[in-house]
Amino acid sequence: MWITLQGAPCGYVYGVTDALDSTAQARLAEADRLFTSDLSVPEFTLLEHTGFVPVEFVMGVSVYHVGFQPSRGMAAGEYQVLTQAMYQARMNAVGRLVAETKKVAADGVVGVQLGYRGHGADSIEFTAIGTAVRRGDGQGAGYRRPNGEPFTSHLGVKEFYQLLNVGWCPVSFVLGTCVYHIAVQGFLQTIKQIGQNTELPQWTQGFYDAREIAMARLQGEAERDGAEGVVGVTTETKEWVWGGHTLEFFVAGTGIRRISDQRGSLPALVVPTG
Amino acid sequence: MTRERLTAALQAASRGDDGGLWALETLSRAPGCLWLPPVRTLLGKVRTPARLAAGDWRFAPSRLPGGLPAVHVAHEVRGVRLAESDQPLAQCAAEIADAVWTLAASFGAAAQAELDTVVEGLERATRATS
Repeated sequence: MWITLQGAPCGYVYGVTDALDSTAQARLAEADRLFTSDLSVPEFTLLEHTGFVPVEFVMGVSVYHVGFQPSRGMAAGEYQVLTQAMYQARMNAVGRLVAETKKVAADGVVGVQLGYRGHGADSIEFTAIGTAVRRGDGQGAGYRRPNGEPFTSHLGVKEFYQLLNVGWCPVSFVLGTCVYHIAVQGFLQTIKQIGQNTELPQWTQGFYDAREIAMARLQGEAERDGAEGVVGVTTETKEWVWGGHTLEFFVAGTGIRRISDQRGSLPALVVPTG
Repeated sequence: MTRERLTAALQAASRGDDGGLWALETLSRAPGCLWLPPVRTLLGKVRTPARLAAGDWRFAPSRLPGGLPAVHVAHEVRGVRLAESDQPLAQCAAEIADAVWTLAASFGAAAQAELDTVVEGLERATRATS
């Protein structure tokens, strides 16, 4: 069984059709009547100070069946079929979130969160949620990505405010993934380490290799999208349903770029006296 | 200047026959670029079309719904596709030019001079077909 990837003409950045889900279209068409968001009250009040306003709580979902991956036997190396599936599923979810963002004419999305859960032995559901925001003075074009697309960011409002305060702006939520098969340890090595304090080199090297590949992809996305750097990088390693000797190294962050020479002000010391 | 000239040459080519997709194979002569042959199934059916590889970018002839000629633009890193789209050549000419130019620039001045020659050839071919 082979993976069938989305083959329709697709939204450029996220590698998936950016056609808005039909059930969302009717609701999102009336987005300006009332804003929705996943902001906390402190985040909502702080957002006002950034010059942006919340527009809509946006979401993207993808339930994906992971296809057949030939075994690598005892050798180390990437499972590219699995990696592509994990990438495609996440990109489907984020792409649909961006489609909703565009529908409500927002300039970007803050607080993007990726969630997941399993559906049986070989299917995974990914959800991407966030709050679409728009510049209140109508000058949002300068904050969008260099190609005019809305920016995306997994940073919360507090970090968003801090970035803007020093003249930087989010560009895109970038990901790097690598599903890697760890080489099986030889029998002699197993015998040698019985009762010993010793490193497991194939596991250590496997983690390094998987990280390097995942980081290369994250960096590739950031460069492609016109970012000058990546902040807020988080990593996660999971076996998912693929059993022992297989791990997915997942890394995510937000690419950023400088938009002004503003340097911001240092926080002042406040001493309560009463 | 070469990047802008290449963009302009591709946009001019897009106005010709078949949307100018023949220009993709021409660009495989640029430094670092490769023309990858089609991948076929055991029964001979084309599974992956022939495409131009320029660094992390892959550009292949494609069609939009309705049959209009287009370029399938794919961004791959370490063998995994991170993003893809189908766009008319005129729309992605700058992107193709950027990928090809950046690759040549990474090889140095001699490669950029070689790219100039390829661009001149593309311009001549475009004038000949228009």
